[in-house]
Amino acid sequence: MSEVMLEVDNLTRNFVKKLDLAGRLAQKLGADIREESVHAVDGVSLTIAKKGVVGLVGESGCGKSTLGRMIAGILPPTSGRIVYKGISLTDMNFEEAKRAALEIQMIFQDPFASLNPRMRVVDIIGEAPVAHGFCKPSEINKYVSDVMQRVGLDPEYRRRYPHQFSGGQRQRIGIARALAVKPEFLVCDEAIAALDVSIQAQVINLFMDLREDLDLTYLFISHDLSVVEHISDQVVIMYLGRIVEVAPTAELFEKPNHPYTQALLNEVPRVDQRGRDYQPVEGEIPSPLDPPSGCHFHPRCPHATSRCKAERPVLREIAPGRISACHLNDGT
Amino acid sequence: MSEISEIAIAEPLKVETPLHRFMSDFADNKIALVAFFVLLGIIFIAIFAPVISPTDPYDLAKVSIFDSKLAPGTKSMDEVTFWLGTDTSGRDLLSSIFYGLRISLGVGVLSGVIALCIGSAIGLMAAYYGGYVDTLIMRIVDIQLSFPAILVALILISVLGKGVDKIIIALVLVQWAYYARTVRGTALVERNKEYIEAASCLALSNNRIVFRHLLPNCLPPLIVVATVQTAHAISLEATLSFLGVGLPVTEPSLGLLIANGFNVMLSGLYWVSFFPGIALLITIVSINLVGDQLRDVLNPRLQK
Ligand SMILES: Nc1ncnc2c1ncn2[C@@H]1O[C@H](COP(=O)(O)OP(=O)(O)O)[C@@H](O)[C@H]1O
Ligand code: SF4
Ligand SMILES: [Mg+2]
Repeated sequence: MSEVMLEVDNLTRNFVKKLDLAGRLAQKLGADIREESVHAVDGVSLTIAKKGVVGLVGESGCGKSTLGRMIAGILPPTSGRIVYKGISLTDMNFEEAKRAALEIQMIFQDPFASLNPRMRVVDIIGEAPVAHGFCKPSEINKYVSDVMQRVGLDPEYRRRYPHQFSGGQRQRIGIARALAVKPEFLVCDEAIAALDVSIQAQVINLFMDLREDLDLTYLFISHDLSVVEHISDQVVIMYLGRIVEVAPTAELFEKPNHPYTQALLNEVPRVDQRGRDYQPVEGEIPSPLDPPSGCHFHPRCPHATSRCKAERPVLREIAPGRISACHLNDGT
Repeated sequence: MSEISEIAIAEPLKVETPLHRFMSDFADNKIALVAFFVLLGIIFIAIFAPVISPTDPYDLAKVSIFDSKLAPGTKSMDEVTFWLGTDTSGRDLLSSIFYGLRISLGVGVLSGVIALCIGSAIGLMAAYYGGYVDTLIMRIVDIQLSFPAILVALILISVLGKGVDKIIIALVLVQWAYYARTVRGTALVERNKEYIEAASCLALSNNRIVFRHLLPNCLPPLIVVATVQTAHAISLEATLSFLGVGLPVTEPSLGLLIANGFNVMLSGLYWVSFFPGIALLITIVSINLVGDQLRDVLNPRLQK
């Protein structure tokens, strides 16, 4: 077994929408209003090996970004542990926590919103390395030029502003900003979903080149299985806040176990429909405010039984390195 | 390599800063451009009033009662032309207007700047901390904004008393809430954008995130509110002075000039209050025109 980079243990994140004054008043007067609570991530555990590439796939709203944000340290978990290089993030001292925060970087979905529109590229990329002492303020130009070259951007453009670049170039700026603090682990949240199809392949290639050169570890989040097929060694499938299946990529595509994975896979070849809000599986995604009982997937599952409605299936090992949460596996 | 090809396509643009883009967009509207230059002229006059005024209207040794109530264009006994006439004490009206602009603009801008600093700090705090801090601040803002500004100002003046400093305090207290509300609204939107998340992912300090990332992106609506509020402050001060509760007579603003002339309006000395009125009107209209154009240019929804 290779070295473990990151371990997530029973991680949970709820979003509670507190009632405002009017709401509380109405509630006192007997109206049927409650605080709304969303279990965006509901007891997720997973392990990511050093230099591994894990693809995290699920429909929009299933909690992928929330999980990614918690791992990147942007969002505090409600409960559960994140263990990075053997130390829980909450047990780290100040120095260790800062090191971990810089070593885990995130690449965002929206190449427009993720860059500060009022800063020049040189400052966007160079601000953090200077602030954290990776380079002297006087050497910022050279430092930034090196990073820009690495991601395929012409350093001549470093004094420009984000609006003067195309979507693909902006995404490279975002990647350069992350690389500038010498990360070891990248969380890529739908990092190519907003790009033209022709540019997507280029950016994926860049990610893979960087992996070779810098020994990076990736958590690659996508709503589209076909995106992770060629780059990840392991795929994690999420549904309504829970992991439903984990498998090595080749095995998952060859022999998907969970009915939800099978449904996702059935839709993969239809590349023409690939889009941001594309909903591949038949039936509506249930509201995360009020998830179905038992197996979350039962209202859409062709194999659902009465047991599926009542009892939540646990994640079980179904083969070496493969786990799945479905009652159908109990028979065998 | 495929990556390089994408760069090669990018035309060699000149380095276009947001400021360049902003200025060329602003110049698209010719009326606003004219208003902008008029405003520059007014600011110039206000700053250099002591240098460019034909006479010093407040040097009692030089003001002669024999020159009083002269019509526009009349020459004085020592051959000075009173282009806009003189008032009842014999002061040159043109010079009085120059000095009055200086006071009006000074009070308006100073109170605007102070209100902007205080208001945006409070608004940023509300947006950044949220929760009870936010609720409390926004309740105070709501209450403040539900009263007419002139009423609040009148009450404050009657409590504080007269004087330039008191007027500025009253104007700041009337205006800060507009800035706080504007900044909070923008900051709430900006705070949830990914570039703020990226900054916190890079372990940058809270101070740096708020002041280097959040605040600069809240500026556009703030600039618009600042211009409109400055015009508002100037007319509010003029109103207070006109009502006799504003600035002391020793520092006559445009409002006080208008009030002084108002008494003799019906005796045919129309110019004593007419010309200060025109000066006030031009000032406020040009600030508002500039403000409108700023709003159009800075509004992201209208931006191409
Ligand atoms: N800041 C937030 N406040 C309230 N609810 C949120 C917030 N962020 C995410 N959610 C909710 O959590 C669920 C998961 O969201 P997200 O992690 O963005 O899903 P995904 O990235 O898979 O599309 C959604 O139901 C979403 O509405
Ligand atoms: S547990 Fe039941 S409902 Fe859930 S996926 Fe398996 S068969 Fe379908
Ligand atoms: Mg997402």
